[in-house]
Amino acid sequence: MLRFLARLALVVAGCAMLAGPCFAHATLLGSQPAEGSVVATPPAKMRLSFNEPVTPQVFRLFDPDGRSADVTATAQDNDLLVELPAAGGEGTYALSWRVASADGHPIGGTATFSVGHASHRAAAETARTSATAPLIWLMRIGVYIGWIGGVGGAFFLMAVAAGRRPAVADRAIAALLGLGGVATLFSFGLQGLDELGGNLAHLGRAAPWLAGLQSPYGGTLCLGVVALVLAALALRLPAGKVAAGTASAALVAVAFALTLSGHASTAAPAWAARPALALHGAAAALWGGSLLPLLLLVATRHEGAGGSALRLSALLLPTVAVLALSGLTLAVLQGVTVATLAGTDYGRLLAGKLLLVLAMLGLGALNRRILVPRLATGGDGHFRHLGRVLMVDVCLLLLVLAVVAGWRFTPPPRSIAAAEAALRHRSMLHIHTARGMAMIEIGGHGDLDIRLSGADGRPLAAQDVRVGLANPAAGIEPLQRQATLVANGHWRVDGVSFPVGGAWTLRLGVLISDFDSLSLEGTLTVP
Amino acid sequence: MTKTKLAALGAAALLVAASVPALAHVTLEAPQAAAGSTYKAVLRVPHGCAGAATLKVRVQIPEGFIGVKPMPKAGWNLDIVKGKYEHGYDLHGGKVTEGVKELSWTGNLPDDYYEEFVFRGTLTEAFAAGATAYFPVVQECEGGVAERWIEVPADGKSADDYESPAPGVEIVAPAK
Repeated sequence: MLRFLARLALVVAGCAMLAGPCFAHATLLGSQPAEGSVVATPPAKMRLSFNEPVTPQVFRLFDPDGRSADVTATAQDNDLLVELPAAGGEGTYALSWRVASADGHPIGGTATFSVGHASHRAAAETARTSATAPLIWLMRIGVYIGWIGGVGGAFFLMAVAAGRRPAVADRAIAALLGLGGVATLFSFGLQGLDELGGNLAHLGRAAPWLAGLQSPYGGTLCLGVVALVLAALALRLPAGKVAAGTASAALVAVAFALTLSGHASTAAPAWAARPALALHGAAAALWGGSLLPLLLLVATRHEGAGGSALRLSALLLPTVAVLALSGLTLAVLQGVTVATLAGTDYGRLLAGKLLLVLAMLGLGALNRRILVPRLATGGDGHFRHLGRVLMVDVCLLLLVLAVVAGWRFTPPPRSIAAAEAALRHRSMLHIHTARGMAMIEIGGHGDLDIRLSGADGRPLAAQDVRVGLANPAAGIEPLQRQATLVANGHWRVDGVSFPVGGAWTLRLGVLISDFDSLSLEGTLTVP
Repeated sequence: MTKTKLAALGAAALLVAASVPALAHVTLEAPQAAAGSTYKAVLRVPHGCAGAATLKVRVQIPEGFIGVKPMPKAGWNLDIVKGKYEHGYDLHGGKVTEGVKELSWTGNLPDDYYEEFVFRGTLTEAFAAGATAYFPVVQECEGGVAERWIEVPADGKSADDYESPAPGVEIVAPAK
């Protein structure tokens, strides 16, 4: 009996399988709003018209930001009416639909329309970062001021000046540490916002702050906070070895914090890049941090000014050597060459930084050779000269920090080269078959550039080229596009609005002659 | 009912089902033929182009299918395109080097109707057993649209893998 049932099931299944597609499949005749059209206001409904009654199955609407929501459709004769969600911004929407024909055979496709204007994924992403960029930059300058000016300043006061200082120096350094703290706090949220996307209003939510905390830069900021707290603590401690040690620990914390994130920390090899970065940061904090306290010592005609200046002077030569060597190492690791120094944003920032640092070095040499030795001999005029020079130094340092903070937005030459290579590789698809080959490149606005060649390598003459693009992982049924002829063997599809990035299945239907076609299929990675 | 009978019934059902390929596509009625035999091709056109009426049916004759004669059809104009074959073939003791390369019927077939188009020819021994002779068909419809049943499966694929496969007939070894 069991065997009988099993056989029966097999027979029924076999018949059903083989006899399944016995009627015509349904075909989409059109949609309203029409395919690829631009409408002024968001429509409440979308109408899909078929050549026969169909049964709605899966409908998913992708908004311009790539978010998707399942929507419902109701049948009305040969048409389907799809309810669209009310809220929605301007840009291109894509409705992925899947229906069952009268014969039970499922068919699917994707219909697109735009509200206000057509949007493209790449364009949307650049627009997103620009809104928060100035704030991120300002906050980063604040963080650097806290680290270099605050932590470096505390180190100078407690370790170099050995605790002999006017009260105003303490207050100034504490203010810098506070500024660094506030900037650090906001940096968490802004970093998260930059990663998640969204506008400044989203700072009211917890998500960006958590994302910022969990990011690599969040690790840097956390260790930075430790450094700021240690430095503040050092200022409170009585002058001596404990205070000097605490200030030194703060400096070390800054050095380590720098290695936890940023593109310099990720340059290969890491065993060279990270120590170089740590040394560079520590040296910068030592030198940069000494400027403001020394200026205050000099301005207040403090008794310890001369001695401190001399001790610093002795320290600065090895410091500058470390700064230069580690900086050079980092520049090489980041792929900086003479050409990229002028040819890339990163290089131009580096060139600007180098000019500023050279000016600071010149002033430093002036101090060391002439002004500081004279200071030891006393005299009010010498104090005034040194004070002015230090004032200029502090201003230059601020500019350097502003320039360095700008690196947050510019990939180093090594990453530019890598990114370009990756992009070329990713957004280019080669399909080889025995009969022909296709090279498909995706352009900035979702344009597809298609080059066809025959088995002999010559351009393949074709009557018609159709492109089907589907993203099975995201549940997007094929978007169908007709390519236009540019030149023999060279075809183009303008402005495909990919609702999401990722791996897209691309299918090319190439009509070579009335009776001869070529079907090519491959996977295209959309950024 | 015995097990043997049931199994036979099942096999028969499968065979019947197998001989009725997807009716949504343009297909040939007889799915198999022997090399060296005369083959009567019956092209079945189940529907128009997405609802539009069919105005013309064109079929390309594959190399190796010779001595082709279409069956006239009331209400339809027949056109025959002749040309040189790539190879020469023996037919009834003579050498054939040219013949029909393409057939077309011009008329009007609304989407709601079903129609068959018939022609006959000889499948030469140039076809090896196990191979498939494909007859690519272009269906031209009202409004300048067309359905092209011209996809020939690549190695390792079958007609089922394509949306618009060319109708084909599988060649079997001639009966001894």
